[in-house]
Order: sequence, then structure tokens, then C-alpha cells
Amino acid sequence: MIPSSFAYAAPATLRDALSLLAEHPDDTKVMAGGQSLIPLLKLRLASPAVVVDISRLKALGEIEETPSAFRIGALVTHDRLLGDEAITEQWSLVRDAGEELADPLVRNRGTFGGSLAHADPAGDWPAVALAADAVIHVQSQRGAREIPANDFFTYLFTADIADDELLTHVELAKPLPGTVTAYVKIDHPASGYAVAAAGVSLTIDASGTCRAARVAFTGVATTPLRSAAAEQTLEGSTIDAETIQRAVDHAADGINVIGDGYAPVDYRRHLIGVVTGRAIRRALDRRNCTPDNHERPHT
Amino acid sequence: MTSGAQVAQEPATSTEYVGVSVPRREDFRFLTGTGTFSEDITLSGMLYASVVRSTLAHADIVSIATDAARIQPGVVAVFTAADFGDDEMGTIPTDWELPIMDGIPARYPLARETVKYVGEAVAVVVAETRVQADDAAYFVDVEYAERPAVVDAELATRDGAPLVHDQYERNTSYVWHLGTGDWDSMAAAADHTVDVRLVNQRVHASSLEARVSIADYQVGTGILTLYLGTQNVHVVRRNLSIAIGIPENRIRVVTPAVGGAFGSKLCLYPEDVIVSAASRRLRRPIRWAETRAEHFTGTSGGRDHIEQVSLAADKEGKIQALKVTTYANLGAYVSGMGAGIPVVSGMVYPGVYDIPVADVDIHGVYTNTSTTETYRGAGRPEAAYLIERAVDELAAKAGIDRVELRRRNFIQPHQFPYSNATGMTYDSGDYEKALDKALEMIGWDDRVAEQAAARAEGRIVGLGLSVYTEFCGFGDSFQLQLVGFDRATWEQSVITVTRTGSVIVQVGIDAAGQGHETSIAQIVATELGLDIDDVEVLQGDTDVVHFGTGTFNSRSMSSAGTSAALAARKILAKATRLAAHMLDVETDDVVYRDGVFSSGPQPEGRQVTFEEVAVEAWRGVDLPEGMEPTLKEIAVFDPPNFTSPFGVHVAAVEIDPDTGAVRIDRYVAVDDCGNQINPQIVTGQIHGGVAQGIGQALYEELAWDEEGQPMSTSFMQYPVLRAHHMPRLETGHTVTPSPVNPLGVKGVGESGAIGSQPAVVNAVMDAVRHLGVDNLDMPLTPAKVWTALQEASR
Ligand SMILES: Cc1cc2nc3c(=O)[nH]c(=O)nc-3n(C[C@H](O)[C@H](O)[C@H](O)COP(=O)(O)OP(=O)(O)OC[C@H]3O[C@@H](n4cnc5c(N)ncnc54)[C@H](O)[C@@H]3O)c2cc1C
Repeated sequence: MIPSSFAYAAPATLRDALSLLAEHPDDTKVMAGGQSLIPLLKLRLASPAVVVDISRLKALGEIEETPSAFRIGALVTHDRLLGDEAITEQWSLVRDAGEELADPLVRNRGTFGGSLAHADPAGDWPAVALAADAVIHVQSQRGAREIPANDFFTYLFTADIADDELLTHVELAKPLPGTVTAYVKIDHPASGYAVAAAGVSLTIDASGTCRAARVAFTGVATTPLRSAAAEQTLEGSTIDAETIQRAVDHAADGINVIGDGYAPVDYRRHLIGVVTGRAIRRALDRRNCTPDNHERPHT
Repeated sequence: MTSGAQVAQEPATSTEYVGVSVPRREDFRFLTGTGTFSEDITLSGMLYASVVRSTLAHADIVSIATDAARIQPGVVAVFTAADFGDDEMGTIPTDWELPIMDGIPARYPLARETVKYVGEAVAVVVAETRVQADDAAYFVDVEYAERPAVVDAELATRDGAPLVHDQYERNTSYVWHLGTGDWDSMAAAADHTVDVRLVNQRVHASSLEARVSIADYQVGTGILTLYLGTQNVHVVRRNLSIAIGIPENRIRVVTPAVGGAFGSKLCLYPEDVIVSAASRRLRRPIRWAETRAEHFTGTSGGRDHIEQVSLAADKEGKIQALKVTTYANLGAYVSGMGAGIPVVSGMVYPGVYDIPVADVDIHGVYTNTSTTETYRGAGRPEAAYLIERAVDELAAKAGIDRVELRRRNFIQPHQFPYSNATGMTYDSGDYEKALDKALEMIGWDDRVAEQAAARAEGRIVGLGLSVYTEFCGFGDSFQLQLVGFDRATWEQSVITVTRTGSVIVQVGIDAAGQGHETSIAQIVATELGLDIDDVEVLQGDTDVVHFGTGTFNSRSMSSAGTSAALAARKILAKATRLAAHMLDVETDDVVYRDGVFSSGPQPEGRQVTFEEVAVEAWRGVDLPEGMEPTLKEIAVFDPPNFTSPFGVHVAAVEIDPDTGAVRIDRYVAVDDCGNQINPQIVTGQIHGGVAQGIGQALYEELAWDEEGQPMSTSFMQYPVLRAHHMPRLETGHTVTPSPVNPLGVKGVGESGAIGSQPAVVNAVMDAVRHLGVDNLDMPLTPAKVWTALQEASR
């Protein structure tokens, strides 16, 4: 189908963009890569009066590295992020997720910021942001805010970002020593989106004890979210086969799992455990330190 | 020899193209974006239509308010059924009304009192641009009084089920009985019986190109031209003529390039009639182009049969009798050939096996869903799935090896032509040969041994096979007309040789990607001994080809290929007579080879070229006694019977115990389509068909919820196979020529979709049966397989 008509603006500066958003916040849509917005417009699930195309805001397309963090501009494309070796070497799950996200065409246009702002309950980057404790920076004429990923995704396709705010960049702290990460996704054969996916980050000290664990899911609930139960199971423990099994068994605890014709609730709840176990093992494999008696994940 | 062709053996002469993998001449334009598809056609003064559709599965239309839509920018007209009389927009005819049916329910292009499925057309908005039409369509306000709906064919036959059509007492349109003999006594005497319930779910072709229809009524001539993607321009012409009351000689139907059809573009659709009637009223051309959501909800899907199958066998596993009760979902109306498909499906339920007794009841049932129609295989995938699943169950239950059991029951080569117990005659076959070849290709015994080792490690692995036969090339015409088939079975070709010796072939088929321009040219160039580049094949325009029956049932080679060959033979006979006259020898003394006629064995004799003969025929000055000028001939071929392609497909699968996901590790397909015109095209057809069969086996389902709301309206929900879902296909062939046409061809367009779904599902069943799973219905989604494994292990 063809979208209903709308006014189009492509501001050249952040200031202009923010002032356009301030004008008619509730009737304006930001467009970054358009890979989610354009389908919505075409299906007429969204019919904004004004579309503000932010692709000319070059400053939002940069990746900056500081001694302690990566600052990823909102307009950095999936492909660009996937190809950034400094980031993917330290955060392996970025490469895992990026390689499984859509196809090369979409990855060339779709943006990291757009993906987070869109807050698709099955989006891949949201789970990565959660597992990596990313901090999301937004700005409006009213000022700037920063929101920890864990507080950002509030409901189906809804994030803590106001209509007049623009997501400008995401801060990804460099991982603590001993951190290994991985992302494992089971995709839907039609959409390619996650039926269930897990991003994990484990910080393991020299004695083999897990000091910090992040286990985040997407595709399984009304928002991408973390599993407190799995994280608690892992933190403070030696990550052996038994611990992994406990994390798998409890991964879905407290999660209001969604079901559909392709993956009913019970099955999806089970998959949460499957991707949890696989992601933990994949992360551990990267530590060159495999726990006793486990099989290599086959994904 | 055309450059780039793959040739197994040096052909006998340089113009021997039959059996050679000549590269498809269509591919250049399709791969470089230079083909013209319907939506590429823009006519001057053209308007655009947007159709307003029912949002409910079953409802009375209380009112339709169009005033607000009429005043939207660019809107030229808004029409509902009330705007047209029966003479301008009558009901849509079908091509197959079984004699036992109590008529067919009237299907008006725009719904009148009630709507009977979500997506049924209710109104049409015509505007200066597509966007204006789409925008204004939102302003058409339809008030409905909802009625109860029914979507499942078996439930629809129960007492008290909501009635789809008020004028009938039941939703059952017909119960057709097939078979001879007494099941009960055979079953009572049998050593083994099996009983399985199978669901062959509704699937959708979902072609890349959805439907498009452009009508152009010229008031000056009274001629209506309709451009659309279709598999049969002549059938569309006839049915459109009936629906709108313009005689066939004032309707022109054109199909440019078609981006996939697979049976879904065989019938006349409501929108074709709507744009035609609207163009006639408004005296301007009108284009309607379907959205993907409209395609999923309005364009016919296929299959949707629920079957209860029983087999009775003796101690050795020799099958004595087959009993089947089928509930076939017709949808809300009877579309095109929709009513007949379940019945001809039943005619091949016995498959490749010599089964003396069959007792088959087929219930054709109306429901509040979109119509079912031909979809790649149309009845034969259902039949092959039914018998091949049941035979595997029998083997398991009787404890007889499934390969051995099949061999014991095969119809033997000497039995052909063979009439099965459900009334179908198979032309030829040699199933052992194909089976041996397939087993050898996969290394069956080694795979069985590997499987035992894998199972010992706890892996869930399976091997499955299917042996199928089917029917192609729709004939014989007499028998088919007895069962109400209202299409022709013949195909015609006209060949014209121009003054410069180039050849025009007009065929009555309409390709939608099958490569017929190449394969027909191969046949004609070979028959005429000419370079293939001198032969042009025309199709898809009723003003270019006046008569024809179309492309379906894999009939194009056996029917149009044959008529083209026969027309070419007439041309060559006439040209030879003329050459003899020119060379001043007896016709019988003329030797013809590669475009040159000689008065004796080449190279010694005197010679005239084909082109020189063409010039002479065109001048018409010095012709043999009684010969008319020009080289132009027509041939019409009416096949005496169906052809029966057959084959063996084998799949090896492994199931991920954690997720239930099925992975196909090996896939072997050995198919026999008789003589092959173009082996590469044959293999390509197998690849495409297998992809669609695997799609049905593992992924696809077009479903509605209980209220009749469609669950799949986009490629976000409907999983058409992607490249990474496909296993590597290992294909092989045997060649058993058909005796029912002079080319010995059988047809191959659908075979891949017929052999594949039972092979894959049998492989999965083989993997899980010993774990306690006794039945699984397609699609074998991970959730379904995992849940069945969980339940079995409890
Ligand atoms: C075929 C296909 C397959 C896909 N498969 C996957 C998949 O497997 N996994 C996956 O995660 N995603 C998938 N996607 C979605 C893709 O990742 C999108 O690119 C992404 O979700 C949105 O990024 P975008 O830049 O295209 O945003 P847009 O489409 O431009 O915008 C999306 C939404 O975010 C808002 N927005 C965008 N940028 C900003 C900003 N800087 N500040 C404030 N609001 C903003 C927009 O207003 C809009 O509401 C797929 C998309 C397609 C077309």
C-alpha cells in the first residue's frame, strides 16, 4: 500500500530538528533508517502529519571511543556497528546479534538508535543494550536526559522517550576485565524476528566465580527485558553445568511470556531456557574455559 | 548449437534442440528488469481503483454509505453492487460444476445482501490516482449485521453449523463417491489395518507479483481490453464475456509477463469484472493492483482437505483395500476449477499401488473463508501425501520394511495402461527403476546404518521416502466433460513462416515463468530443422492467439508442445512438396536437413534453402498443382488421456531435541516426466516444486481464527521459504515416455510439489515414531514437534 500524505522535513542541524519536533510533537514522526517506520506508514498503522528525516544530522552518525566507553551515535547503521572491530572485539554479542538482524539491505539503512527508539518487543538491539548496561541519551528543546537501558523499554513499541525528544547517542561502557558476552536468537521463519533470543554478559573473576551477570531477552514478552532470576542464579556462583542448568530452569521466572500461533506460551517459555543455556555456553566458550560435561551448542 | 547450452551428447544434427538444456530466452528480460508486467502498463487517461472489503467473515450488509468518499479529492466514482444490473455485472461463472451439485451459489463481483468471507469486495472507489483512491476508500462506511461463521470444513458439515448459503440446507455442496468393491469384507478378512486422520492444510501460492487488472473499454469500437496476469487468457475472455455481457469477439485479454501464478491465476476474479464494468461505465481505462494483504485474503489458496484414511492388507503387506473420507474446503464460493479438484484428487488416492478395492467419499464443503483453487499440484499433492503417509503407517504397524512393502504393492510395468480402483488410467510407469535410482543416490542402506548409530547417541534422526504418480495434460475430453469439467482439453498452435523464412508460433498456453518460449521454440526448431533463433513463440494475447486453453496441470508440453510439433510437421510437408516442385523431383526424393532441401543425398544434390522455399510460397506464383500460397498451418491436439509422471523423493532429517526444529540434511528427488525437452528447465521445475512442498511440510499455513478472521495477511506471518531454509537438492531422472502424445512427454511443473511433502513428513515421522509420537499434521513447526515429543515422553 501507499502511505497517506504527510509533510516532509530533512533538517540539517540538531537544533532545527528539535525545534520541528517541538512544534507538533504528537503529530510528528522522526525517521532515521525508515526500516520500521516506512512499513508502518505503508500499512497505514501510522499516519503522521509530518515526517522529520534526521538522516542529514551527520553528528549522530559517529562512533567515538573514550578510554572507558563507546559513544554510538543514533544514526550508526546496523551494518556499521557490526563492522566496528573495536566494539565487537570487546562486546562479542554485538556481532552475534548484528549478524542475525534482518538482511544486508536492512542492515545498510536501519539504525541502532532507531531500533532502540522503536522498542520492538522482538528487536535485537534492545536485548543487547540491556545485557551491556547501555545508557541511552535523549535530547529535546527542554534539555537532555540519560536513561539506563533497563528503564528504557516500557511497553509494546514504547520507550521512555517523549514525542519532542530525539535519541542522540548510546553510551556503551567498556566491559570489565573477565567479561564474556554472547547473543543467541531463534528466529521466526517468516519475519526473521526473534521468537526468543538471549543476550548475556558474564563477568568472571580469576577464581572462576561470576561477579556480574546480565541475561536479557527479546521476543518473549511485551518488552525486551532482563531475567532477574537467571542473573541471581549466576552471580556469585561458579559457572558449571549445574549452575547453567539452574539458570536455564529459572530463566523465565517472573516473566509474563507471550504466545502466538507459531510459538504458544509454554513452548516460548521453554525456548527462553534454551536460548539462555546456549548464550551462556557460547559466552563461556569465548573464555576458553568450558565447564565440565556440556555439549557444544548447536545453533 | 546455441552457445552456453549444456549437452550431454553431441546432438545428431545442429538443429536437434529437443533434449538439450538451451538457456531460457526469457531469463534476460526477467533478470535484467526489462520484462513488462501488468502493473508496468499505464494507459492515457487511466484511473485507479481501490476496493473496499468485508471486515467480517459472515454478515448481512445493512447499508453502505458512499457520500463521504465521493467528495474526496480526485474521486471519479464510488460503486457498489446496487449501481450495476445483472447485464452489466453478473455472477462469476465457474469452470467446473460437478453434475451432482445443486447448482453453484451466485457470486457477484461486488457483494449484494451478505458477505461470506473477510476480504470479499463490497465497494470500489475510482479516482485519478492510486493514492486518492486508497485515501477515499477509508471514507466508505459499511454497516454490517454480523452472523455466525464457520471456517473448518468438517465442522461445517455438522448439524447446527452456521449456514454459509441460506438457499442450501447444508454446507455440503456434494458428496462424490469413487471406487469399486466392498471395503467392509476386505477389512474383516485383512491381517493388518491402519487408520489415520490427516490434515492437508490450506496454503497460499503467494507469488511475488500479486494480481493486477487493467480494463480499457473503448466506446468508439465497443471493444474491451483487459490486461492482467493470468494463466489462460481465453478462459478469462469467455468468463468475462458471460459476466458482463460483452460478446467474446469484442473482448481482448492480454497477459504480459506474469510474476508467478502456480494455479492461483487461473480463474476469473471479482476485481477483473469490477474494473471492466467500471471502465465501461466511466469510458476510461482503470487499473487495480492488489496489495499483499488483499492477496493473502482474496486470492485463492489451495489444499485444505481433512482426510480419514484406512488401509487393509494381508499378511505380506499386500494392500487389499483403501477407504477414505475427505472433507474438502471449497471456501465461500466455487472458484474456477475449485469444485473438481478434490474429486480428481480422489482419483489418484491409490497412488502407485495395485489396490483392488477402493471406497472413497469426498465431501465438498462451503465455509466462510476465501475460495480454494488449483495450487501447484492441485489434488495430487493431497493424494500422494495421503497414500504415502498411510503406507508408512502400515509398514510400521505390520513390521514390514517400508521399501519392501512398497515394492510388493507397486503396479508393474507390464500392467500399463493401468486403470486404478478409483477410475483413473495411468499411461505408463516403472516405479522400481525410479526407486532403485533414488535409493542408490541417497545411499539408503548406509543412511539406515548411520541412523541407528545416531539414535544410539540420542540424536533424533529420520529417513523418509515417497513414491508418487500423478496426472497431467488434462484429457480425455469426453470423460472430463462427464464430470462437469467446462474447459477444453485440446490445445492449438498456429505456425506462420514469414517471407524471410523466420517462424512465428502462436500457442494457446500462457506461461508464468515456466520457460515455454524456449521449450516450444526448441520443439519447432527441431521439427523444422532451423536455428532456434529463427523461431519466435507468441502467447498471452487473445488478439494474437485466437483460441487456447491455457497453462495448468503441467499440460503445456504435452498439449501445446504437441500441437506445435504437429503444426510444424504440416509446414514441413508443404514446404517439402514445394521444394520438390522447385527442384523438379518427386517429393519422396527430397532430403531435408538443417534448413536445406536437396534433390538427393547431401551434399551432392541440387539444393534450395528453407528461406528460398518460404519466399516462393509467399510469392505464390509458381506453386504445385492445387497448393495455396504461404506457409501457415494450424494444428489442434486433443490428448486421448492424461499422462502420468511419477517419481521417488527421499529426505533425511534431524530434529533439534531442544527446540523441535527440523533440519533437512539430504534431499534426493528422482522424477520421471517422460521425454525431456529441456533438462535444465525440468530440473528447475523440480527445484521450485520441492521448495513449495517443503514450505507446506514445515512452514506454511493459511489460517483463520474461529470468527473467520485471517491470521496471515503479510510475509511477516506467512513463511514462504527463504534460500537458507532450502536443503541442497540432489536430482535425478528416469525416462519413461508417455504413449498418449507423439512427443512422449508427461509434464513436470508440479511433480516437485507432489513428491516432497510426504517425503519430508515421513522422514520426520520416522524420526519420532519410535519415541511414541503417532501422528503429526503439517506444517511441522518446531513448537508442534517439540510439544509432541514432550507429550510422548510423559
Ligand atoms: C525486512 C526487515 C527485517 C527486519 N528484521 C529485523 C530483525 O531481525 N531484528 C531487528 O531487531 N529488527 C529488524 N528489522 C527492523 C530494523 O532493525 C529497523 O531498522 C529498526 O527497527 C529501526 O531503525 P530505523 O533506523 O530504520 O528506524 P525508523 O524506521 O526510521 O524509525 C523507527 C521508529 O523509531 C523512531 N526513531 C528513529 N530514530 C529515532 C531517534 N534517533 N530518536 C527518536 N526516535 C527515533 C521513529 O520515529 C520510528 O517510530 C527489520 C526490518 C525489515 C524491513
